[in-house]
Amino acid sequence: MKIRAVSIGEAVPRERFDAVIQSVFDSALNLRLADEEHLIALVISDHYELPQGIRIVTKGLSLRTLTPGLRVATRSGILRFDSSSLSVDLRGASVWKCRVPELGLNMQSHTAQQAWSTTWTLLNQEQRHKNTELLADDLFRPHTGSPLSQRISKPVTSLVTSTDEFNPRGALHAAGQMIGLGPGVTPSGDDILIGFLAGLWSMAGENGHQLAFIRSFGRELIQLAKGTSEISRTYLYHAAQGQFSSSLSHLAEAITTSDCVEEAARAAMRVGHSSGMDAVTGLLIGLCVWNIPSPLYPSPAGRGDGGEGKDYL
Amino acid sequence: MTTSQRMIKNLYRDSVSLMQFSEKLRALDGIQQASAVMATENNISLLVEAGLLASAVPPSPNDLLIVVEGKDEASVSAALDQAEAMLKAKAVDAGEDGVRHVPPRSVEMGLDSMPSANFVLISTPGEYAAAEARKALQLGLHVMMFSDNVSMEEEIPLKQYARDHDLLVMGPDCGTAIINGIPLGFANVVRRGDIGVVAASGTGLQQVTSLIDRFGAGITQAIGTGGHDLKSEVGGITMLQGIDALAKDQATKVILLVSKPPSPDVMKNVLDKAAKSKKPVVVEFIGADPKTITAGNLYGVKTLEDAASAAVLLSKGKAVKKFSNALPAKYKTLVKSAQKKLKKEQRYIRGLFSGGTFCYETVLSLSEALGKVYSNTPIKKDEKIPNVWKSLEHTVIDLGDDLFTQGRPHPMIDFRLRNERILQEAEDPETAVILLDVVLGYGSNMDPASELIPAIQHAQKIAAKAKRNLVFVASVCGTDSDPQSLSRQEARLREVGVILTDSNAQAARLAAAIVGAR
Repeated sequence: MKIRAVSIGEAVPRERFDAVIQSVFDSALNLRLADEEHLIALVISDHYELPQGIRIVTKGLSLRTLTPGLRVATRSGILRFDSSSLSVDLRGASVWKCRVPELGLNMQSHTAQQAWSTTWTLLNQEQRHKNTELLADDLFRPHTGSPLSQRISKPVTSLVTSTDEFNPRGALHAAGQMIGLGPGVTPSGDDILIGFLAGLWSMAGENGHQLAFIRSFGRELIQLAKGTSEISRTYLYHAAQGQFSSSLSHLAEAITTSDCVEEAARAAMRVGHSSGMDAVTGLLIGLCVWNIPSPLYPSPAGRGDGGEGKDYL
Repeated sequence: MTTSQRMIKNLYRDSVSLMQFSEKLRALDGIQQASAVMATENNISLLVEAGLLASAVPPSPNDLLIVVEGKDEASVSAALDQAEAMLKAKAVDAGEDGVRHVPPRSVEMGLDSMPSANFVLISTPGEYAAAEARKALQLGLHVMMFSDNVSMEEEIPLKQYARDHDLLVMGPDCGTAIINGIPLGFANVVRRGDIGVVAASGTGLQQVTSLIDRFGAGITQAIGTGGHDLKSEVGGITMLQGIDALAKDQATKVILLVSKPPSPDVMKNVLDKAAKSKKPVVVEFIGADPKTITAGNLYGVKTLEDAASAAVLLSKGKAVKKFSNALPAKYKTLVKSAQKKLKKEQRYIRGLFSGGTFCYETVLSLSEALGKVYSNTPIKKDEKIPNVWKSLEHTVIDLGDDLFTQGRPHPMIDFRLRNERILQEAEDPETAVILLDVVLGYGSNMDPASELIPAIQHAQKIAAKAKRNLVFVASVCGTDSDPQSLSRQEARLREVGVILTDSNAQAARLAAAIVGAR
């Protein structure tokens, strides 16, 4: 069966490559390229794009028919699986690129702050509804929530403060305590960091000082990412380059334009079991740095003690 | 209460699956708590803090860590066994490919079953071959076109497309090649070594590679170009690409080129390219004067055997000697004893060849030694045999010519036509020597000696009946590693009185010596 790819992420090689299947899920699988450190993903979805993704739209196909370790090769734009008649035609697929670094989101604007508040509220509602291990509100209430919330709360606060102060060492120390922490193949700590970077990239625009910090932090974060799963490491790698999933990217755009925020937030939260919500948590926290007052910390005096954030909310 | 853990290597499950999995474990008898997380340092630390792990275990971020707390060791151990079984059962389910497998019937289907393939061998009837080659090239595959009857009008754009996309088209009518040690088409099993060959001649390639093996050296790659490649219209595209590839190949120390003389413009380009390769290049443009080639790193030679010898000498770091046209001393007694058997009227050589290049090399050699030689592949136009079915004086026939192969297999496979012709020559009182080539290797007849021997014996009987003797001279092209075994085939042919030489060139010289000065 030959399936046409609808779109491919900018990080996917266009010409020939050899790979093996690294992992398989119902509607996605990851490929480990022969000469690359990072994975690419084949995703069945009618909308979800990834920087490293090949998107196909097909009904009734389960990727579970393929097994990890199976060889895969692309020749002249056709991706083929060893011992399977399934192939994916990459020719003619549109190339998708995440535009988050181009947003220049201004969190000083009233509409952006309103969009942020709407999303934060939705997020906490959804997390409570799904009874997830992490609750965004708990991150700023020390000694509250699940063991995971309590464990991650302090480094998250430290990450925000250090980034706000352009203190890369402090930010990296905090990130180091989050990497690989939590359930799932992309642990919650990693998802928060990915979202956090999305927040920073959304706002930096052409601000050289901020861009320099993000790039430097990103480079070091890639090194730290050796402490987490290969799949998660791939997402962190692209996040460090300012490249995120379409759902996170659309939410950042929606907050920038205050257009269809609820819809974008719900779509972003639907990714995975908790990954989407964790990434949205990170995004919203990331949008709070470098802004006075910020949604989480209405006044500079409030920083370092996340407990005051709830007044604003 | 007791806790225990197990690490499952390289296992990826999404959060929902792991959550459901943990719930199933918790529901087991005697189990209080269970957790399944990626074994990152931070997760391990969290489990230690939560009291689920007694002490930290080494992190392994791509592996799944299952931790279980239960009322006693038996419950915990059983739960972990069950956990592992559940995960493995899932893996087996995932391995069942619901897609029906069918044998590949196209290049694309072939790629489906072997996606990392980068090479295709096309052996369809000629009329379909170009289209298949084009498809393969567009899929990014190198092509060997075994098929013949492909026009130059089709060949040229294929080769141009391939060159522009850094791909190689070997052929059309490329009968043999050895790529990465794998014999393709009619090819011999030769040892690997440091000599790379590019040849526009199938049996020429087989002869040099087999002799290189016999001389104790080996082959890196043997690239066939097809017979039209060195014509002006094609421009030697494949040979030029082949030289480039071998020049870049670190395993190749010496390059060997084999062809009939190319068109002058192509010859210049080929020799220029070879000169720039910075490696010793032995050039056997069969029939060309070696002196017009030898210069710098280029070594022109006169026969396929000399080409193989020169390449082996160069690969061993030795100087290339001046090769002699003279018949080696070891054959001289054979010449005398053969001459004694012949009657005065037995004056002519009848060469019956299955290899086109062997035929051509023989015509050249005999012409030099004996003068006029009739052939269906003559050197001079006036030596074209008027009737290919009837020999005239010295006659050398390429039985692989299209005229003979229409509707029947190639004479390397099917010996019937040659055997009939042997009997026909035996009837001719002027026949002195029947000169043969025997080509071993993949694709060729699996036991050529058994095919030839009855005909040889029958021919000898025909001659004996007329109170004559016939002399059979042959060379066997192949190696002991070939499916037919060189030594086994040679031994059987010697048993019936065939005089064997080490190469085709020597066979021609020996035959010429027998019918020469008497």
